Amino acid sequence: MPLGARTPGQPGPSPQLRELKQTVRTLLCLDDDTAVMVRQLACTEPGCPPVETIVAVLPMDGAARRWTLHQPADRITEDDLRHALLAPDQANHQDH
Amino acid sequence: MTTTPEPRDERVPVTVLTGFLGSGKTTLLNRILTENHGLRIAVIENEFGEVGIDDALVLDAEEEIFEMNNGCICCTVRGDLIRILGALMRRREKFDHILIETTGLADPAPVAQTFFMDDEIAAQLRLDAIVTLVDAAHVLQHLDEVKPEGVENEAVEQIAFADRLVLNKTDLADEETLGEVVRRVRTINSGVRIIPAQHAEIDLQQVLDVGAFDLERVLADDPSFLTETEHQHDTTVTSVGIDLPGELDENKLNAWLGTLLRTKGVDIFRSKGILALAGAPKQYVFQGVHMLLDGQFGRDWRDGEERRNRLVFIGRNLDRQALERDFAACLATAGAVA
Repeated sequence: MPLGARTPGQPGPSPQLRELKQTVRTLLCLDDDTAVMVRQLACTEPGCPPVETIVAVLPMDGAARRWTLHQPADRITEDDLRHALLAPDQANHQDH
Repeated sequence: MTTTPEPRDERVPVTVLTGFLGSGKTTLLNRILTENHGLRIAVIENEFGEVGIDDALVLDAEEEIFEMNNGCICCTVRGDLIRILGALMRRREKFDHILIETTGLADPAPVAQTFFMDDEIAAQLRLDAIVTLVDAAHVLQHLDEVKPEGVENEAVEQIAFADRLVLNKTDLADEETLGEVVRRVRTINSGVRIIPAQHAEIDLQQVLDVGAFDLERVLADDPSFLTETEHQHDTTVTSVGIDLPGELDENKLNAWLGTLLRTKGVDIFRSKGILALAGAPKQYVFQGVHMLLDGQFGRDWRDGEERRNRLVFIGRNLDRQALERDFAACLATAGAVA
């Protein structure tokens, strides 16, 4: 697939990504109004793995939170998410 | 001859309205909301209390820059938009178009990146155009304003990101100034369509649902879009258009584009392209903002149509020669022994 290509014939997020988002919602008991983003990004930091996956949670009211998992999105399991999201003080909070 | 019907994009178009305070954004916005164009427009505004249309869906938002990745400007999005757009899409049947009015000093990059960062937003909404208004009489002084080290000149960025530039208040500037404004705008963003106006009075069809992020549509409207790039060396923000016949090796293309965006993505504000990949019966169409790319296969190459690659970069300190040379090296025939 060329770089940046969306999967042909697939209008929305991949089933795997949708599942990860749903797991995030379940683990954090989020309501429907809270936006959840899961995005794999290239990491340019020296010494880091080449890709990382960012999980961001943006509630309608309250600060946004963000977690970085140092692995590709398609390798992330529910256990990985549970470990990252539920561990104390793992989130990066951004006030707004 | 048989051709596959071209896929229709059902996503909701989004227009982003940028421009300095006093450029006429609110005047244009009020015209868009009051004129009889048949569109139901949802408005997200960052400048409060200036739009007073009773039956319009107007949502106020406070600009919130959200970093997906510490310190990387390519990975900043607008948290306020992510929240509001998500809520709006649950009321999808109430509107046909979304218009986002930014503050005068807003950086367009996080706004545009919001539409690339999240799959759900990208699947439901398409960035139709970034429309920048400038005040013809005062834009030069904004462009010439010297900023401290590391601080962006917002006027330059707003022009660099623009698909349509409304050159407003032309009645308040003399011919010489207007000529200089156009020249300066073209050096930054050679392909932008400039719409002269007074009191923001323009044909709204020039700014709404124009598909300006769709390079194919842009080229159909303006075949010289990629070739109008001027070789200017007196400015750091410029455009580079490339038009190259031949078919590309996908692996070479991915390696080049991946490296280019990873290493120069901060300086590449916008990119758009229609590419011919070896072995692909369809055109590959992509657009990008900084490091983020969104691409898909478009229409079939037609019988007898020359396979060629057209792309444009707008950004800071672009090395035209290197871009042309390295892109040419992605051709499937590049490096082959004759």
